[in-house]
Amino acid sequence: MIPRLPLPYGTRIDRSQVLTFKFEGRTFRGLSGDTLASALVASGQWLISRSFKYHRPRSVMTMAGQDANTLVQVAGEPNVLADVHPLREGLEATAQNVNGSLEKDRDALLDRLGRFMPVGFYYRTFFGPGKNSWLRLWEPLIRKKAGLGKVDTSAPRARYEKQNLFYDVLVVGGGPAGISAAIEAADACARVLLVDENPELGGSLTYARFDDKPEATALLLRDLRQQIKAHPGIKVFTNAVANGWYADNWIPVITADRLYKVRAKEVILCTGSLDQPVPFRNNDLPGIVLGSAVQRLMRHYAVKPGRRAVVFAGNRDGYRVALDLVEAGVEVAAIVDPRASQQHTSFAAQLETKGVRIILNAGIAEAAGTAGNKHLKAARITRADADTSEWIDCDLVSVSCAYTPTYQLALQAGAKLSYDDGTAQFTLTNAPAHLTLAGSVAGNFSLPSVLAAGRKAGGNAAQTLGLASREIEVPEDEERSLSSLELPLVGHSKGRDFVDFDEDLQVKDIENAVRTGYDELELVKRFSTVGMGPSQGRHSALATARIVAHATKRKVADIGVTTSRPPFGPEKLGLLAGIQQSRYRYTSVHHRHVEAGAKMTPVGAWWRPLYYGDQRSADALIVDEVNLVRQRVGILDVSTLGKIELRGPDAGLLLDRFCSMNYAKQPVGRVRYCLTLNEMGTVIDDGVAFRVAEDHYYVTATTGGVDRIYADMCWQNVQWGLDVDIHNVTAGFAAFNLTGPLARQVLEAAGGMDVSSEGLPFLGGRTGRVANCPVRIMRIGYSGELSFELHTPQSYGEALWDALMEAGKPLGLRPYGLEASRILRLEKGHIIIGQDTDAVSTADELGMAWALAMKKPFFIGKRSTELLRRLPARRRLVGFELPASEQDRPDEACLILEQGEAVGHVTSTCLSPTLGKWIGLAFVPADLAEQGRTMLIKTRKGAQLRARIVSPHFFDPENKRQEI
Amino acid sequence: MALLAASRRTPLGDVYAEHSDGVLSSIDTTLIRTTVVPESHGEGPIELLDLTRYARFGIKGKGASDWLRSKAIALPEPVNTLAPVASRKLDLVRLGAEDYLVLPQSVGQSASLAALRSAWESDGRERKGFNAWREEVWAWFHIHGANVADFLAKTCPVDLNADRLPLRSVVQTRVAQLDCILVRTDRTNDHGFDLFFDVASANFMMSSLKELGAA
Repeated sequence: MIPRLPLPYGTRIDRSQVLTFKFEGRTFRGLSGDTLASALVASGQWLISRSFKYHRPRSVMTMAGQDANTLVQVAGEPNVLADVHPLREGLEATAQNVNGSLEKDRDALLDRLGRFMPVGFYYRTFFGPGKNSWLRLWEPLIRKKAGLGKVDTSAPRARYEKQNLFYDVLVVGGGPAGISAAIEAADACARVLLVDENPELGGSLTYARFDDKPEATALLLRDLRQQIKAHPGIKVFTNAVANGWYADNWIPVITADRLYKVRAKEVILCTGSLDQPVPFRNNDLPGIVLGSAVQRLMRHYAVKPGRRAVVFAGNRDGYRVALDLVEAGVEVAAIVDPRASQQHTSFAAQLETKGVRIILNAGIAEAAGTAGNKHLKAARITRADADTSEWIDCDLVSVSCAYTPTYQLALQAGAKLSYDDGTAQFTLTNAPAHLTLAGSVAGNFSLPSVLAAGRKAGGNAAQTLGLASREIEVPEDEERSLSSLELPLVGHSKGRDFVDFDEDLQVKDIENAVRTGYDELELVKRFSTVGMGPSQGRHSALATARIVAHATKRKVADIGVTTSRPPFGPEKLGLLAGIQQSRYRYTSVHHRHVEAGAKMTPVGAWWRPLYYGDQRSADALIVDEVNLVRQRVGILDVSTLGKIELRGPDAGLLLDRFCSMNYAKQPVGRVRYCLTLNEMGTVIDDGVAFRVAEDHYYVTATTGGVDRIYADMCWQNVQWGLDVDIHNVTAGFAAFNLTGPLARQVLEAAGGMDVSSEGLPFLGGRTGRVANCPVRIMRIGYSGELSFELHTPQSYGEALWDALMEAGKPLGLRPYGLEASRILRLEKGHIIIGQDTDAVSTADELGMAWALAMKKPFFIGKRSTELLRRLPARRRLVGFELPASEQDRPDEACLILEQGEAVGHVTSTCLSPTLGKWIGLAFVPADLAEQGRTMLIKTRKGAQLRARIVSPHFFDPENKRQEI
Repeated sequence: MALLAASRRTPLGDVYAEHSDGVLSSIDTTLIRTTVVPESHGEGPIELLDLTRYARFGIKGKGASDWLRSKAIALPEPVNTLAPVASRKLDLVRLGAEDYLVLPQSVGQSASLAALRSAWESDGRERKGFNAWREEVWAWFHIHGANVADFLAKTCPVDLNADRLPLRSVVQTRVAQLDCILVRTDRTNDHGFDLFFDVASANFMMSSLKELGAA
């Protein structure tokens, strides 16, 4: 490990704790508090990644997690930003996007083939050379090369949480402006949340050089941190990213394992600004670093970034970096200042005293690398006022020239981005109400101005909240005009002057995009992919805007930046998913099913018994359950059925309009089928209506359809201005269907009500008590056998179930499951909504015209039904049968063939235990639906079975069994 | 078969402590209590009580307000607040213009509630609202603890902090992906909320809250 700089350098490291880690299989040592990248650079390992397209060597650029150069794979996690990822003992990391190894990447050859891959080449390259070349050649090749890193699909399950937070003021950014804003707002008694993406508060105060002595800056930082820590009204999140802005100041703040959904009355954005790179040939070589990154390496991690440096200083901060380098023992070979005259005489004097050469009116034309371009070895300096150029040996180029405000959240909130030609900076205006900007994001650069602007923003936020706060003046900002410089952006003739490091886009690529005709920025983005990489244009937007402005002879202000959308940075899918909780609902006798050995199955959110017994003999068990119902008596838990109370003087009228039969004239104590259509005449649900009293109907709906039916009823009730109280009591009532020839005997044994055929005839309904449980009992069923459906308040569910089971024990009563129920209903020819119907099924197609009271003045779907009846019938749902001896079996969704063409499909089918043959329902064209015809069913194995079309009422078509 | 008093059960398996005269027994040690967040670092636990077995009564629809007024009960104003009915030892929760939930002030002492319900049921007037079946359609939990607002913030999008949501406030919101009515009652003299939600989801609510507290 190369020795680190002495104290006070290295504010984030603990020199007493050495950590061992591996990168690309090699063992390295770092210090506690290091990031992976700082530890690698400290060890002399600058090469960290290969670029996306040309596989060029890349290394740290921002040291702030704002570029893609440090993306690595850490164990099973891809795309980890090494410049912010904390080092841990035993950490193992590898490079991504390499063919072979990082050091010897076979795909580095692509760097020499750049001329064959101009901007947008992929839009027009992969069509040839032959037919289907894309599918046979290019797509497999690109797929193999695509993507960064590898997801470990066997990684252990991680826990991610979400949490809602509510604050008066949210301050985004914990630099000097953000800290000041938070203190000022909290002093006024606002509840404040201060969020910063770094591991500690302080922002630029932790690494940058200001006009005061470094000791004074350190004291200021300590004082501000102490104020924050001591303030009861301020909550601080570090290592947390405010990852977007949504309406009403809803801000997702993400940490490693938690997504905070923050709602704040006032938001203050102190998001700072981003140091910008400068395009020159080979400006991506390892060793070419932004000035702020140089300072971070030294101040945070005590890493000496080089031995001999060239400093590109297009602004005051460039000179400050040079002073920092000199003080850290780095030889500054030259300061290259593109401006014609000296703007920073004080700094210049200090540097010249130390023997540093300052070259004015100059630029860096290109850089040269060591073998394989693994590191910078020299920079060629040109002067605007001379034809000659000069190579300067160096292993570090520090670049400081311009800033862009970290504008993403502000733009998402609706602020406008402009460009100030005087200061050569983007500016933000028109921030919406309840959102304020302060600090360098708002154009404040000198420290006194930044601090005051932060305090003023905090005070203003407090005032908006109705809290008393101090009046604060922001001093004139003398640095504003000295922070950014607009360089002429002329591409190098040999290229490799990168504008977008993520996507390997050079100056000429942007120029060519414009030349091709994409002269609007959004089009340039889509054609060239500029700004589409992981850093989302943070370091390319300004340069691109200037290039496009120059190429189209417009102002930068007219070009702007592309639309900024959330998220600001990457967020893990686990954070979005949170804790996985799949909703489930239990009926009141769920535990009884489990105790009885039921195989439970989900039906929507509900869990229902599929059958009872060992899965290995499921088929036999289901047949046994069917036979039980046909020969003796079974009980089915139908508690999941939708149940709706309709009460009030217009209840009958509502039902008359909502469903297709007559209900207003339905006698009290009678149950009537309900078929519900939509305005298109499509069947959407069914159930029954039990008229409990003149003004009271108890209506059932399907398990899956009840929420829609309830919502539609409520809507129509209001639309029609009816006086009905509608109440969804689905979960409030347990319901059991007792069915089979012995069902009446079970109820008689249970006691409590007259269930004789006279006392409770078919389609009759009564209220009373069975086994001392309050019930609504209906003579209806789905099986075609004598059936009683008992509904009881769910708290009585277990008691009623147990009582019925006890009473039915001598008669052989057992529960049966959904699968047997499906067979029983199919034998009887009853449809299941959603299985035997689809999005366009009409009652006529289903053979249910009997359920349409067309003489009623109105019901939903009536008009459409009338119109459809004027047209030729399109299809019919028919019954079909096949011998049980067929070699193959039909299945649901199997096609019906006619002269080799698919003309319909099977909706339901089973091998009927009662009838001893295959039966089923299928949609067929109306002209092929005649009973007695045969049709071909194509099985899943491809066989063709000849089935006979029959009445869908396969069993007991005269209904003698259910009406006894 | 002899007609015995049917035993009523809650979704979590608790028995309705119902005496033959229909009066519920007082709150006791048999109540299902679950610690969803254990005590740690000096911060008290967060506990969940299943109150589903206790009586409550809901009426809704036209005439409900008038009927309550006719019984000299002052209605909570505005909607989504709770008003104590001191004379009857009841709490009246207003969920809508004509939607009310009546709770006993002390969950175990429901004689007054039973009397009010009986009066409603026997009242022959045409418009008096309708039975809202609140004791059947909703489970009733109470969750409490000093940090209960922070805990519920993991799953509820409403600010439940004690200084933001006063006692007797009612919030109709979502908890654990379920529609849920929260009533701040501080029933155990601790910061706490009564939760009313889909009775069929009681097991899910319990397991979800335990999972959220398992960090």
